[in-house]
Amino acid sequence: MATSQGFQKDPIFLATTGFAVVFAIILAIGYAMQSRVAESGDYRLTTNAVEQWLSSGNAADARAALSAMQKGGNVRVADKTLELPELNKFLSPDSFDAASLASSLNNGVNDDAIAKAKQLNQIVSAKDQKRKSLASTMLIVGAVVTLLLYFALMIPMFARRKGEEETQVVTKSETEGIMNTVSEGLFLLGNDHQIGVEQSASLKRMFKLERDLEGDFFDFISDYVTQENVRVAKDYLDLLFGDRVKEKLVEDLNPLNNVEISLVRRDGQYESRYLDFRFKRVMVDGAISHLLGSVSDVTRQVELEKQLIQTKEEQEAQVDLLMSILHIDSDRLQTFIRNSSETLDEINERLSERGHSDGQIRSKLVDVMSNAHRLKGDAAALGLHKFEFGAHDFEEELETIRRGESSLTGKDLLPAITKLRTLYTEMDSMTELIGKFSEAMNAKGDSSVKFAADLDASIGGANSVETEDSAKTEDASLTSELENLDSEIESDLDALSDSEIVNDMDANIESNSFSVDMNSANESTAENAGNEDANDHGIEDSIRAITATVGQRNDTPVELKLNGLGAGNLPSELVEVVNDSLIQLVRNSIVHAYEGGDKRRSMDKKEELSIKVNFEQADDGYRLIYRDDGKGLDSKLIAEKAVSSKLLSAKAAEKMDKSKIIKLLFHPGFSTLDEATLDGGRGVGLDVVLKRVKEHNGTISISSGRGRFSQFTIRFPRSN
Amino acid sequence: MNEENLSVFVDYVTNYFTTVSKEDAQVGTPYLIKDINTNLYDYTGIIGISGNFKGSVFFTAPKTMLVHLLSELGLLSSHDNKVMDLVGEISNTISGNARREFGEQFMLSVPIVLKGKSEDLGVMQSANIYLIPIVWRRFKANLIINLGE
Amino acid sequence: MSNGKIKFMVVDDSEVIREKISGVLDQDFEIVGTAKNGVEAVEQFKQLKPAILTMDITMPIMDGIETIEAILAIDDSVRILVVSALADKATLIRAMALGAYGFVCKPFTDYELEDAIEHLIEDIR
Repeated sequence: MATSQGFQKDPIFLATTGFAVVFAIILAIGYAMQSRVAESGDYRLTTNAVEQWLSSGNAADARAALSAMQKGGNVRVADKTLELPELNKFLSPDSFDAASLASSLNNGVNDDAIAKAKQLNQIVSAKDQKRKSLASTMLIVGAVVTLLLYFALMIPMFARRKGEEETQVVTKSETEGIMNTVSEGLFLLGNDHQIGVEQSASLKRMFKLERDLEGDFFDFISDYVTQENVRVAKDYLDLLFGDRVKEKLVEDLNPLNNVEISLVRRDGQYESRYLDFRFKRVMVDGAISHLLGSVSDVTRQVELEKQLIQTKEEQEAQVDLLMSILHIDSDRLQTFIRNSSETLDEINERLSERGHSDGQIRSKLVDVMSNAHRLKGDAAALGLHKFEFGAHDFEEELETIRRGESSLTGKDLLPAITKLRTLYTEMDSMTELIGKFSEAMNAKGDSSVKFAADLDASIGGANSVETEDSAKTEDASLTSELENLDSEIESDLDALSDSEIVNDMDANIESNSFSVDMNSANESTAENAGNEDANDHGIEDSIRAITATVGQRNDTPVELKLNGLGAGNLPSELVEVVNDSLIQLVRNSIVHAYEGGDKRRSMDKKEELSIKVNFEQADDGYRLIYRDDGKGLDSKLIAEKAVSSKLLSAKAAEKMDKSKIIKLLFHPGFSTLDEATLDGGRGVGLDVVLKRVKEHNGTISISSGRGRFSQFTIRFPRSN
Repeated sequence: MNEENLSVFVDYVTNYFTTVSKEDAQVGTPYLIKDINTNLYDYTGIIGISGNFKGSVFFTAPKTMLVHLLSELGLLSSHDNKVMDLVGEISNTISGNARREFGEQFMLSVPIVLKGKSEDLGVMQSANIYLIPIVWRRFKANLIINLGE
Repeated sequence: MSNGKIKFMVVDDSEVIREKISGVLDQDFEIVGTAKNGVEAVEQFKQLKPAILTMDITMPIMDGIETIEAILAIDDSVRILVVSALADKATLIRAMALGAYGFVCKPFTDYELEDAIEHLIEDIR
């Protein structure tokens, strides 16, 4: 306390000074009294004393003598004049020579008078003494009292001071103890934004520093938080320092209660911690002198909270995923996972191959797009909508990039890679989930496939199948000359090279005179009809499901008839290609071939689009016959679309014959819809079909009657 | 830090090459990787990005490319120190640019330089780290971006 | 304040909120105008010179901060009560730093609003 208020204001100092002054005054008074007594006179005679002395004598003379003495003159007593010095002699305190006085006075001085003179002298002396002793007594008493008072007052003060000092020492060590131990980072902030010297030990630890913090607070935290945070903090602290805003209100505004700080680790990467900064105003004499800052590390709480939210979200996602896969046959699911993972890797592989010129990138895009499309189809077939949509997004992105006019660079593919990453992530979730539940699923023992989708009443089981007997329309087949389509991707798309493609189309493709006789109930297949173990491959259910889904999505009622797809008839090595092909064909039929209920009714067709699938064994192999009764293939429309999709110049289109035009359907990048929907429009499906069929050394034939039907016949040789 | 920022980082790298050598670098087809280590070249600059514990950007290049770059800068040396300096310089440039552009929203560390592989860099469960090849003259460097999670 | 009542203006793009605020005020106040965006607010302010106004800082067209700045530039004795979503602390702090007098958070109860308005006028009533 002494130090903070300055030496002059120290109470003890003031008190001591005060007492010293009083003491001095008393001394002075005492001394003054004494000396006055000494001066004025041992020889002072008061009127009373003289009268007393001479009461029996000559009062008048006594008076005269007195006054004369007082005036310093002579005394005339009787008829004798005594001069003062002489008189003084007789009146000295030390010796009263009565005899001498008597003889000098020589006149009636009697014993009585002498006695009275003696008395007088005593009285005077006594009074003198009294005065002297009074003076000294007063001095002494005064001094003693002063001293006593001084001590009386000072001792408690000293004691208190001592006590305070001790308390201060105790307080200081207690404070130190607190500051060293408290887990919060405490510090003071001045108006000038400087960090105070007194800090708790944990403050620097929160920032992984060895030394206490110093300097400007905002400069300091700029190293740990974003500039945005610093700005907001400045505004906030200014509000706190200003007195316009009430403390309670200000507390609500604290923007720093969960601020993320970034600490650099050894390996140069960042580590996040969360700190809670709180500031309180420190008031001194009714004004804001400082802010008390208190920092707590709330990382654990924040992370727990985040984890909680994340776990919740994950659980929800898992439940959703689970719901969507519960109905899927476990084998098919495994197959899907395996294939799709491979496909994703294939896509990634292809992308990672060397080559980043415009042409090379476009080539990669095309390849990857086919894969993506297949992924989408597979996912859709199993009802895995999340993955299907993810694959669709990916595909869309690729298409958008491909449509770009300017020269492509690797950078342009970045958005697509992002979507690919999402697919990988989703694949992981699925795999993880399935891993958890595959045991449960197997234990269940029920590997039958029950689709949640309601099948339209019009989609029945396998029964009578119509096959055409028009051999003439089937002999021709698209051979591997369709390969040329692939090479055309790289080069000028305007000219389709001549090929030996034998056209299976009748020249009358445009007229309605396409003769197709459909017989009902081909005996050879009847025994297989309806009896096969439809669940061995699950392919029938898969196709039914996709038909239902796509049909519903496009508001298209479908009557689906499947025959010959059971395990006994369909060899297992062909299951995939048949499945994939049918998926594409069904989608294309629904999206492109359906004319709409009204139109169909006006043409005397049933409202439902009729799709018939027959798989049969033949001498040279197998045949998959797919037929829909939709609007058929229109080569003019196809040509137009090829031109607008920039696959073909208008001139080339004019020159091209119908069979070649039809071939364009199998060209990647072809689309007869303006807008790509989830199901159709990308036109990529058939090229995939072609590719897969070729892988099995198969061939594809197409026949069509405008306004009446489209038919695809896929032939596979026996494999032995 | 999210996917939208990827393209910006690529630009910083290509800009550097263009500025220093007057010869453009090309961007190869990006793809995904699981294992950062196996995709590192001789020297790597590592930049940490805040918020995300594992968010980081790696610029990794073979010594030969770096030596050529050094010569463009007027330094004919293949000394380890100089080469590491260069990698640090390139990473600093990237980090500095990014800080200027994104510094408001997140923090970027001062880069450190790694020679060879590092044990600290683990392998991911699945391919979710971006790799963007950068081709300059006939050399290839990699820009690897890990958004963590 | 010719008739002794305190002039009040409500600035909010939601009619419901404007009515709610108006309803809470007692006879000491006279509502002289309302505005549904910042531009209107500034215009109306120039004409009507209210002593107090509420300002929703999440309005379209001209953002609340700009509006506050503009209005305080015209007359800095006006007392502004900011209405905002608390999640946006940074903006709120900005508003207070610029000179807003107080704030109330959405969604607010009638009581909270009354309280806030009381605080706004406690020394001029």
